[in-house]
Amino acid sequence: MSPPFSERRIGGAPPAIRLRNATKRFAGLGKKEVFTALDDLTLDIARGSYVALIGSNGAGKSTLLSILMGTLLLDEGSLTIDDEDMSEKPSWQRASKIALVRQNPEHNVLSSLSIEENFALAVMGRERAFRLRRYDRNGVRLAARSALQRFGMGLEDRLGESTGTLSGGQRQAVAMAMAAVRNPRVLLLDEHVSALDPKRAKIVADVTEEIVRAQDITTVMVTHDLGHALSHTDRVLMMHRGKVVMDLSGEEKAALDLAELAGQFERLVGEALPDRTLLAAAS
Amino acid sequence: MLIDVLVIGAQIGLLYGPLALGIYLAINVLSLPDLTLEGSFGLGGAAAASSLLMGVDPISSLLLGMCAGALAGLVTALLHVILQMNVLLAGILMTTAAWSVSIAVMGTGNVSLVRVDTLFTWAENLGLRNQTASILVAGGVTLIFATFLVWLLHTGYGLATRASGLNIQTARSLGIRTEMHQVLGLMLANSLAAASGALVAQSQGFMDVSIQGGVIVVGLAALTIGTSVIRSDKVAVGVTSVIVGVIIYRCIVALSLRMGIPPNSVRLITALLVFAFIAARIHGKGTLTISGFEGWRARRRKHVQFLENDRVTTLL
Repeated sequence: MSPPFSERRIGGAPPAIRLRNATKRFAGLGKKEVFTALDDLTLDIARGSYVALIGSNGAGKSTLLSILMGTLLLDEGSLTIDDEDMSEKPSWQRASKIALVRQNPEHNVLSSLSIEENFALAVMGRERAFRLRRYDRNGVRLAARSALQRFGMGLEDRLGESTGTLSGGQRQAVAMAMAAVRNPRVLLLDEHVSALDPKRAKIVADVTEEIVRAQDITTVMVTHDLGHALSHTDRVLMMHRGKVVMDLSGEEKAALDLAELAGQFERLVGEALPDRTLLAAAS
Repeated sequence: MLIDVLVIGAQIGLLYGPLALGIYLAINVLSLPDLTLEGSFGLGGAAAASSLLMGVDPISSLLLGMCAGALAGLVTALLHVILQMNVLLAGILMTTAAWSVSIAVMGTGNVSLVRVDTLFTWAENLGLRNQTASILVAGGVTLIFATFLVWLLHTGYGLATRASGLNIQTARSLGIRTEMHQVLGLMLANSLAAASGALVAQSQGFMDVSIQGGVIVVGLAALTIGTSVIRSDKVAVGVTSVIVGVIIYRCIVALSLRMGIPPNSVRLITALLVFAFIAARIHGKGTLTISGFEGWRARRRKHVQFLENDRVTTLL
């Protein structure tokens, strides 16, 4: 019997992320009301693959990312990353392996600190070595310059400036460059370009892809841009009510027509894809 | 008269220098409104006074006082991190408890230190005048702690502490164990407040448990005045600003007393000062200027925006 579609692997390599019977519930407004954000989800994600998560609000995409990062812990089930059980580990212990870039630029960089200091934290966090001595300024500056140059925004010459003075797009570029410097095994992107104007969004999205491909980082990206997901990622997971309802990769994904995909999704779950996703796909 | 006021401001203000540094660390750096600092001030004074009477030298007694403060900070931090208690509430409880603990440490509500050597009598024995000795000793101790704090906050560890006070989720996702930075940060902040208590006790030649009453407001005044006068995200500037703030505050108090305002009104003056500086920081020149209709509308819009924001936090 072939494995369920959510456990399929790319190229037969062992998975970087292994989620088993993952369940996460939240208390609702009423005392007995419970909202199940992740419902007995089993999922394997291959090493080095670039995966998009698509679904309507409340589908469980951001909850899944929070579970992977460790800002939320599972109620039931298990999570293994690179053959290490991460189910109970707090987020700070996962930071040497996982980096997260959130939708809100203010949550990705520390606004009162300079660009250089943010990079210093990223470099020290890679080894979780926050020592009682000054960080290696030359090393940090070199790493920051080389990572920021890719975005072509001139940020590499502004390392001494506070990140609070940067625009949203510039802060997301800094956040992605910090993630690149940390060179994580797993990168989580939570709609990281959705708050940016189209020009900046394209720059950040393109450089993100360059980075994850060049550094062979396993990437899970929550997005509403179905067109970008289908054409740029290796695998598209469509979520609905805490479950993966469609899992597309390889030729199956390449051959798919957007209208047909929307139709299949609607037939499967009885609801249409959100307008935002359909509009992004159409554009 | 102006010179007199400045000298008195520096003489008394510098005694509260370490307390101002503790407030800066807890409130500005860690973003934890820790009222335990008030209790630690008294506890530091009590532990230093008791150890002096037991024959311990003044420097060691200052360090013992700081250890007592660090312990109080540790308990508050554990109440917050382990029992998940609001820091404000934990601080109120700890300060209340610290009053009784201070009395237990001294065995009585007040003790005289006239017959024992203190840092200040050491300096006076070198031939310095009382006022000069006081400024040099308190200034020296404050300078040592300020230098240490600036150095610490520029290390990798200190940068992680600053990150923990800016955004916990972002800091944790960068690999920082924020709870440890909060615990050690509160211990250090409280030990600094305790150092001030020990200095005040040694300086005045007696220790009374009531010296801790309302002392947190002195620190808050230093913080609001200092950060209003000198604004910067830089650590060295921030540390300097709170020390300048506590001296300015004591100068204003000294000036008020010279102008004949009764000593009983010092706390009222302190509260009014803090109000005035905070109002000036929030509203800028608009606090005092009479603006036209458009100016009034702009301020009205800003005020409505403030009311629209979520300002509700649970204490229990």
